[in-house]
Amino acid sequence: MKTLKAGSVWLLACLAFIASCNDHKPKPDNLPHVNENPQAANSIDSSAAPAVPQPGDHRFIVEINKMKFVPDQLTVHKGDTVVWINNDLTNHCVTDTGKAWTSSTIVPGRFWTKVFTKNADYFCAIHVVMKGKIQVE
Amino acid sequence: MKKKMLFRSCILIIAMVVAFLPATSQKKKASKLSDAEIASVAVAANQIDIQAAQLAQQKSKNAEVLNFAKTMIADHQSVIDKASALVTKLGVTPKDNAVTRHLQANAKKTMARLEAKSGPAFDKAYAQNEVTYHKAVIAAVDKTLIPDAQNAELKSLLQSVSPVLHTHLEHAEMVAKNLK
Repeated sequence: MKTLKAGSVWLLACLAFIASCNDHKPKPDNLPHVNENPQAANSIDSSAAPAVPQPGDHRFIVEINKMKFVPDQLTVHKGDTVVWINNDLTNHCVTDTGKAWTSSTIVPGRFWTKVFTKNADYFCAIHVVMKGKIQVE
Repeated sequence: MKKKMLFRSCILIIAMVVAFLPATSQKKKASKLSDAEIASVAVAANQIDIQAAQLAQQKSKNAEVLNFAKTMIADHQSVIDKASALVTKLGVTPKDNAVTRHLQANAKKTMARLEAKSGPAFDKAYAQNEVTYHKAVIAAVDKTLIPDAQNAELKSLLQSVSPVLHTHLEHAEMVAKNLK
């Protein structure tokens, strides 16, 4: 009986440990919302939010840094979300070249998200020479 | 006898080299800007471009020129704010110097030239001046201010400003080309 109890306690402890590990696993939904927390963007760990698409990852990061969209070309699947994080010195924005949509101004430290269902060419309407492309597969 | 002459010649050459060395190092030091002088140049250069952009906002009706001017004001003010915060943190007081005075004297002439123009002639002159000005400022930042900066944070700020200036130049060239 004692052995059974000890075994149960050990099993529960193991389950609790596994559950706690899962809680810390990076989830795409853990990214803070756009413009809610100006400091949060700087705290995003690039290892937890990879710019390079990973299997099963439906959220992609484009960093705005040194007056460039990084990466400036991105291939996603239909329905995937792209997050632009402004880690630059100045304000930027993300605007469709056909002006179908725009993020409006993204100040340093903040970010903006958009779900993509079709291809898009975009630019920064503040710095018109900054350009990027989203390819939807 | 020959040995004595050779020895005397060597002593003479060494003495000449030693006498010349301090003058060379002093000359090098004198041409370098201190961090306080760099801060002054940085603030003045950004203020000059803001003043030109404010004039463009008053005089131009061209959407592309107005958008460019708006960007210049926002970006250069952002750099001034960052530079001011840094010099306050470092306890450095921007120090007036020959480079700052040269920039301001040239800017006075440019502003007078731009103020005398109006309409499309103003737009062209403003856009062309922005191309010339950004080329000069990029050269100053990349070749003088960054190499001369002693403080690591000041050097880093200048390095992060450089891509902003390069983007402005590209943008100004695009505006100037579209106005032709």
